[in-house]
Amino acid sequence: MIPPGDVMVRIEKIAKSYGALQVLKGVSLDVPRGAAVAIIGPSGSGKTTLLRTVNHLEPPDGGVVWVDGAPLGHELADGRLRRGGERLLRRQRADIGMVFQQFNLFPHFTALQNIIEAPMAVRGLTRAAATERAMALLDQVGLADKAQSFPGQLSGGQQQRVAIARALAMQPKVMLFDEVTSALDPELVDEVLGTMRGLAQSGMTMLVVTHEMDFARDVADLVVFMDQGEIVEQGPPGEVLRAPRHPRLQSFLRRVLRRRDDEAPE
Amino acid sequence: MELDFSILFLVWPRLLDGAWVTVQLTAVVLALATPLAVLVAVLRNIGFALLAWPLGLVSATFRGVPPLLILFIAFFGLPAFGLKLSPFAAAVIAMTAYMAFYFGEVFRGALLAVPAGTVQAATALGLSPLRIFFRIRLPQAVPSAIPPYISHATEVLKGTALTAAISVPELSGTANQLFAVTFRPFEVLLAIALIYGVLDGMLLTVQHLAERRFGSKVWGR
Amino acid sequence: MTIDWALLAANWPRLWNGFLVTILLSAIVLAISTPIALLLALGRGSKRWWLAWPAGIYVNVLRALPALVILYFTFYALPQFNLPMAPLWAAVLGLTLASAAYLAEDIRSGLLAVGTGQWAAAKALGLSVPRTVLRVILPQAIPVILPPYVTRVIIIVKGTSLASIVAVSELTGEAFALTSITYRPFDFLLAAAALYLVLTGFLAALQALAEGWLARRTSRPRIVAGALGT
Repeated sequence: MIPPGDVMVRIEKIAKSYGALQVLKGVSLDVPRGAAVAIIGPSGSGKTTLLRTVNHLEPPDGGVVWVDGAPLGHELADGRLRRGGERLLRRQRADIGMVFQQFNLFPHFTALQNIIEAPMAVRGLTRAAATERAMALLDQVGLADKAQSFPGQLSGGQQQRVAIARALAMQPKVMLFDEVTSALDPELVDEVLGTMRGLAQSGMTMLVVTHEMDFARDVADLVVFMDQGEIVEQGPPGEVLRAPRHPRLQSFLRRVLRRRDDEAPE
Repeated sequence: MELDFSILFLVWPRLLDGAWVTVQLTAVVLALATPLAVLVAVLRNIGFALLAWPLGLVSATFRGVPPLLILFIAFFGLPAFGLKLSPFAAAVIAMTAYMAFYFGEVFRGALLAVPAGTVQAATALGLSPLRIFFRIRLPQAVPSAIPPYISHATEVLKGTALTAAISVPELSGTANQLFAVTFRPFEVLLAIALIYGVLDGMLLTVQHLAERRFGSKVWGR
Repeated sequence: MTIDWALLAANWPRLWNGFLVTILLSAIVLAISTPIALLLALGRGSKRWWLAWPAGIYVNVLRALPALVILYFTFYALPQFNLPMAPLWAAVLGLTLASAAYLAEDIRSGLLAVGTGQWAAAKALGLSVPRTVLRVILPQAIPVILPPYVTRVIIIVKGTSLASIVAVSELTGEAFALTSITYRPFDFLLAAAALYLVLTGFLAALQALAEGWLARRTSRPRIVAGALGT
């Protein structure tokens, strides 16, 4: 079944197990076009695994992910789904951008080289065109002067912003953020969140796994709470974060917000 | 226990000839074994189960047998296949064969040590496996491969001494012949020890230069 | 390339003896060089320069030389100073001197992995050096040293083949002698290779076990690199 046009990502009954451990228990979620979705929940809830099924870095055991009307990793033939090949997957991945917790920049490339590699190799851009696009993106994230720097010479926050630019250079339809500020020193978190906020405001469809509740409250259109491999509650941030209904979500928020208040400077 | 180093003045030309053969043997083996080893490492890493498994077995076999025995097998056995080879050629073939697998292990280890995260990022960007291998994995593998590569290269240098057993006129074999002539093995041995030390030092200098040019410090770490 | 099995069988006792000599040689070399290597490793890490320097020089000089040259020293040079030795003991001495140098480096890496903090804590508690080494450092270092140690054992086993050059009747020497006598190029050399593979294969399996045990103990990822070393 092909989903309606205003849903950018449809996650349909995704299941994933590691041996005996069921990490995702048939999760379904619709992400509207242009929406910023925050996925929150305790560690081990499966939120990172879910995110990674959206670009097939983790192939699901069951269920299908639809991106912009096309089934990921599958071909549609006479109304039936068939497993597609590696090439199809690669082409589909080009339209999905991912930013990792550990940045994963290519350490032997400069910031600029990191960004132009995929557009040249996958989209077939000339070096000049790719460089132009890359410099514009670096400017957008505020790092135009660091184009020739190696990742080892950049701070964590700067590396992560380069990583965001690298993903954006492919002009993806949807961006996936996997706890991208968790590995950063606190004072560097804001610069990255600021970049992500700008991206959301410009209308990018994004799925953000995060611990930053303020970000979820201020930027997200939809907040999804996951626990033990399933979506327990979802809704606009105003409802989910301020008036949680499910007891598990209530205790989770109490733990998270109390910890945050303990850390708040007086 | 008086030492007489003056005999060295008489025999140093022969020692130098031996040293030159040692250098040639080392260089040829390194030149041939290195690309072969890259091939072995790549084949074993890319995971064509059909190739990787038997190749692993062959690799383990070559590394589980003494190099001296491999030399003898090449020296005595190859003529049985109709190959009339000089001792030098037989030595080259034998040493290249087993060093390719030792170096192969070095490169394999270096490839495995590349951070998986960078490979994941490349996959997420949609890069092809071939491109990921040559643009992302290989360049990151080089710096960590340099120190063990050089230490194995010194093993090649030291391994050339074994070829004396199949009459290759390299440094140790030459020294052996001089024992009977000079009746002063200690002085002769001291001299060749010095020469080996110098050759070793040259390899270490190469390592230094390589680390400066290709090392990960270049990337600002 | 055919093998004369009858000939092989007839001469098998000689090969088997050589195999036993190889094992004996390896065991003796290992038994003597291990404690020496431990002392060398401790010496190198010592703050007293008169311990650290000689140990360092020894380790670096002996690792720069081919093992064969070291054997030549013990076999040919010692008689020059009126210290003649039977071939077996000259070989044992030479191989031990060489192995101790490499083992010392393996052990040193393991000791370094334990970290200076342990030494500081022991010193603060007033423990003597021998006690610190035995009760604090070694127990922590041994699991780390074990895999490279087994690799080194495999190398030592292969190194015993050099003794054939100084007239010791170990496996390689016997295979060589039989080959020269019978003019059969492959039979005995390949049989010897097979015997070595049995031995090194067994040791490599031990090493894989050791690495697995270490990984479980410390939940560190396994790096099964080059079990058979050089």
